[in-house]
Order: sequence, then structure tokens, then C-alpha cells
Amino acid sequence: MSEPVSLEGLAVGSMARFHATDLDPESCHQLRSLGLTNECQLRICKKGEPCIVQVRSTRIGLSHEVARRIMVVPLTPVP
Amino acid sequence: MGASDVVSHSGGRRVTLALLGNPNTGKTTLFNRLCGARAKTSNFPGTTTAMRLGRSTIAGQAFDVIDLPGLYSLDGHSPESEIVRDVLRRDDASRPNAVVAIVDAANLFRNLVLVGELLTYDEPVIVALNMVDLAERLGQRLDVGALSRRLGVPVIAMVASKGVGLDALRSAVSSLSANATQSRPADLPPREGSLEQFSAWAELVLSEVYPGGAPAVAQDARTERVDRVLTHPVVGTLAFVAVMGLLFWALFELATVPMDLIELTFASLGSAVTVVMPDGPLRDLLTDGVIGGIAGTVVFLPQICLLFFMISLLEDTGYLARAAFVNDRIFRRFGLPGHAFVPLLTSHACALPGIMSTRLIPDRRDRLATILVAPFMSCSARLPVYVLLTTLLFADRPQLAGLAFAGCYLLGAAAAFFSAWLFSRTGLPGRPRQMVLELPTYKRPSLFNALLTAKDQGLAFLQTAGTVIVAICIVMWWLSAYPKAGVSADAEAVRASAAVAATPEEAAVLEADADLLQAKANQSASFAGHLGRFVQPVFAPLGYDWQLTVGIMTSFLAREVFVSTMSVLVGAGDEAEPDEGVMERIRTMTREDGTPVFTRATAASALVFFVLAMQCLPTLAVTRKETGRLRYAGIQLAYMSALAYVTAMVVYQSLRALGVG
Repeated sequence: MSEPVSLEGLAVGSMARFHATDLDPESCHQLRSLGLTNECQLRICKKGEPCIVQVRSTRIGLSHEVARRIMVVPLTPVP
Repeated sequence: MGASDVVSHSGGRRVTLALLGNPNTGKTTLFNRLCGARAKTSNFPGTTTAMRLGRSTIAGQAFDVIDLPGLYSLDGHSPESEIVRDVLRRDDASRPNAVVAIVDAANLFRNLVLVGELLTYDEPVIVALNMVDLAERLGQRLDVGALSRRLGVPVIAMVASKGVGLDALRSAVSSLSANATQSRPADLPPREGSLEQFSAWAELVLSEVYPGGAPAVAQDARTERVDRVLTHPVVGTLAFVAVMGLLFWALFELATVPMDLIELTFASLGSAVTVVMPDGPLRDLLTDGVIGGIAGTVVFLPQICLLFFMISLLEDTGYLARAAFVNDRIFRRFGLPGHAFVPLLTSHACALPGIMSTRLIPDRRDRLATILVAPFMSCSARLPVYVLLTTLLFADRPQLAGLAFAGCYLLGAAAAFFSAWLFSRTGLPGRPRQMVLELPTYKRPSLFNALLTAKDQGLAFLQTAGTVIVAICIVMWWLSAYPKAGVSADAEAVRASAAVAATPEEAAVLEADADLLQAKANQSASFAGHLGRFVQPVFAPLGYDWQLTVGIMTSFLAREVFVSTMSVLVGAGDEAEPDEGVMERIRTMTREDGTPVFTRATAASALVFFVLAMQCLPTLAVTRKETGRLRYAGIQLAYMSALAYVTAMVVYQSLRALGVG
């Protein structure tokens, strides 16, 4: 199994599994209520500012700082 | 069982239907379809969160419909979650008899989490499965019957924007018995369950209601292409400038005609009252106080309606979420969120709609920071003042006057960002919340929704801020108009000349001059005039004499009043746009010791003061309403006035020290 990496390090099109984040509780709750819950799968649609990920059918825009602090487990090889 | 059964079961009480759903699920569209234009907007008691209330007739029975705020989860401490939980837990007649949960069929998982949370409450639930056409286009084929059986509640497939499924929804509502107990799924997590538990439950439900299995993460290539452009650091910024330029232009240009019409209508009304009523205090109160006050409020209405109409269209398309990210890069450095761009830009037209549009900002701290600094942006009411003072400053050098004019805009914007930075390190500590936003699917906007939004916001403005504004306008008029001066000797002398004038035209001109001299005497003798003389020592370090102090004080009502006050003081009538002759007279106004009122240093000081000062009572009224606290209006007034005073004093004293007279 791959080691968790920061979301910002993944390439566009990669799939990953949400692992953890050290964001403030309100931001964590916001992420969870948008569907970014433990172990959920996500796809990287765009890197940079903003980073855009897709969780099931929901597209979520994340500031670069948020993306940096989200740890994911890559499901496709990291380039 | 029909609607009448619901009524009888609810003890003859009014039957209330609540609409609940995630943002961007078409909740407002469904509400508008059910209630049409009869809805009204108010705040939830004790909060600044808006709710819409409407009435709908279903199977001959009238229903009250509440449009609850859009939210992603009932869990958490957001104002929206707390309000909705409070509504669902009520134990009195205001508790809804049933809840319609609007669900995005193309995004079922996340919506089912909220439905799961809702099912832990006792209210009967109907699920409106909206945008089934979009789900089908994405190849998501759902077994609606299976979903209904799994949830234990009616599920109605709908396309609310086209009215598809509306009759079926009405029928489901009318067949719902208020006292009937719906069975709940046995595996539903408890009310206090975590989001993870509800997510796991939603995942399980999904796997059972899609015949071909739950849809995988599908790539929407077109949306991704557009997002790459609209959130690009350079291209996205250019697109944003273009969109906002268009909005700004429309706000100025399209609102001009109705604004002129409103001013003309009230001017005609004032003239009609003047003709009909005998001269006296009551006529003055009606024409200058009441009609003037109402006109000063209603004139903002076209800009407010137009702004909310356009914002509603932009929001519907899904663009605003992208634009927020484009601006967040710059704004964040100053302690403002990316969402602040619409309020700040709009405030260049008028701070009132600018502050009202801060409702787009989800975080309270971020919203407060934006409200507090928005009035620094140079609004259209400052324009005539800028024209007057820059012309006085550089009378013989129009290029420099133009540069000074542009500099006013820059100074206002710089003050706004500096103040936001300062607030983020003092009174509003913390940085703007990091942006986490749903990027909704791009959609064609609904003109109907936009029109209703414009109507609702316009009415809300008139009903709340409007009443306060009119009252304040009347008080300020009274201070400026009373007590009346005795008959002015100068005016009488001119009037005597008019009586023996050679021609009727000459007599009319002299009579008009006499009226203006009397107006100047009245201004000087009024409470505002006395106050001006009393307060003048405070403004002495800024270089102002008592006349300029009166101008500053009367313009506390509204900045543009400064120009008409100065015109009156030089005996030129209360024209808002003085002609060249009047301008020359203002430029050559003298103090009581015979020295000029407007030296270059005084004009520069006054210009800086007008750029930075809070001189708009309507703005303070709206700040109080939108923040829910008088305190913030007080902070805004004190901070902006102090900054304006200190900066204007530094400018005046520095110029004097440099030998600029």
C-alpha cells in the first residue's frame, strides 16, 4: 500500500483515497459535508490555485493551502 | 387522504411546508414554482440569515411554504445548520407539518447524507429528486421506486426548472397526512451519528437503488476545460475583469434611466405639493423632508434591483464560485476573502447594494471585514464632490485635475485594503477562512429566479433600511432648515429692487436672487449653521472655516449635499451641479477675515476628507441591519471619520509646511 502524500503533489487525472488533514475543525467539517470523508475516493481535476478535486459527482475547489494540508493515499502511481 | 385531512389532523391550524436541500439543487427554483411572485423575504428571528416565506395552493388548500437556507449537513455549528435544526425541533404551531427535501439526482450521494440526517427527525418527508434530466445525460439511471421504498418516503422525479414533476409533487403533498407516521429505514444512523456514519449509510443506499451499480467518479471534460480557463491566474483574471466590467457598466448605465425617472417623479410631486399647499412649515416638511427623504431612498432602488438581478444570473451559471478563487489570491493578503470582490466592486456604484451583496460571503468574520471597508470605495455620490474639489484644486490645469480625480479612486481602494489588513490584526483577528467551495455544474441561469430575487431584495431594502433612512433624512432636513432666519436685509434690498425693475424678466431674476440670499441667511441661522460655527474649531487644523464646516456637516446626510450646500452659501441656489459662474464664486469664497476659503491646501484636505469619511447615513443604516448590531455601524463611522480627519489634517499641514497656500 502507498504511503500518504500531500494532495498538491498528485498529477491531474490521478485517483487517490482521502487519508487525513490537520486543517481547523470548521474547514474539516466543510470538507466532510461536501463528501470528503474518511477513505473516500477522489480524482484530481486541476492542480495549483485553486486545486480542483472530484468526489463522486461533486467538484470541490480547494485553495492551495488546503490542498497542501490534505493527505491522501494515491491509487494510481505518483508521477 | 387529501389536503383537507392534513388540515383536520393539524387541528385546523395553518399547514406549513418546509423546503430543505443542499445549495445548488434547485431549491429556490422549486420554491418559486410553488409560490410564484407572492413570496416575501425576512430574517429568521434573532439572526441575519434570510428566509423566504410563500403561500401555495395545493388541491384547494393553502400552504405556507418556508424556504430554509441551503446547507450540506444538519450537523455542525454554522448559522444555517443551527436555524434548520431549530425549525425541525420546534414544539409549537410554527413547526413545519412536512419537509420537502430537494435532492440533486446527478449528485445523489452527497444529497442522501442530508436526507439521512433529516429522516432522524419526526416530520413527514417527501424527496423531490430534481434534475433527473441531467442525471440521465450523465448516464445515471436510478430506480426511483426502489429509492422510495428504501427511504420509506415518497420520491418524486422532477426537473423543477421546466415544471416537470410539479403536479406529482403537489399530489404527494396533498396525500400526506400530518399525523401519519412514516417508517424510517432500520439501518439509519442515530440523529447524533457522525457524518461518516451517514456517508456509509448513503453509500449502502446508493448501491441498492442503481440497477447497474452506483455511478463511478465520472469525468466531465467540458466542465474541466471551462474551469481551467476561468480559474487560470492570468486568463481567469482577464475573464473576471471582463465580466465585472460588464456588470459595473450595466449598473451605471441601465440604472440611469429609472433613477432619473424616479428623481423626476418626486420632483414633480414636490412641485405639485408646493402649488397646492400654502407656504409654511408643513409644506416644507412635506416637500423637503418627507418627499426629499423618500426620493433619496427610492432613487437607490434601480441599482439595488439590477445588481441582485445580475448577481442571481451569475450565481445560477456557477461562475461566482470560480471568480471567488480568482480573487482569493490577492484579497487574502489583506485579510479579505475572495468572495469580497462583488461587494467591493459594487460599492463603486453605491455602498448600499455593495453591503447588501455581502450575503454571498459565508463566513461571518469575512463578511464583517468586507462590510466595514466597503464604504471606502468611491461611490457615485462622491462624483460631484470630486468634480468640484479637483476643479478648485487645479482650476487652470485640467490634466492635473483629472489625475487627482483618478487618485481619489485609488486612495479609496487603498484605504479599504489597508483597513481590512488592519482589522485582521486588531478587531477582527484571524485570516480569512481558507477557500473550500463546491464548484457547481455550469447551468443556464433562470430569468424568473433573477427577477424574483431582484423584487425580494428591492422590497427588503425599502421595508427595512428605507424606513430608517427616511426618518434620518427628515431629522437632518429639520436641522438644516430650522430655526428660520428673520428676513434678510440683503434679500429685502434685492426684493425692493425687483419691485421697481424695468421688465418682468429682470424682476424675476432679482426675486430669484433675493430667494437665494434668504436661503443663505436661513442656512447660516439654522441649527446646522450654529453647529457649524460651534464645531469649526475642531476642523480648524484641517483648514476649514465655519462655511466649509457646515458643508461637511450637512453632507453627513449624503455626500452630494456638500455641493448644494456650498452653492447655497455663495448664494447660487442648491444646484447639485454648479455652472461655471457658481464654481468661480465658490472658488473665490472668503472667510470672515477676507482670506479665501479654498486655498490649494484646503481643497486638497477637503478632497481627502471626502474620499475617506463616512458621510452617508443610509450606509450606516444598512450596516446596522446587515450586521445585526448597531455597534458595527458605530465602529464604521468612528474609524472612517478618524482616518479621514487625521489624513486630511496631515495633508493640510504638510502642504502648508511646504509653502503651498
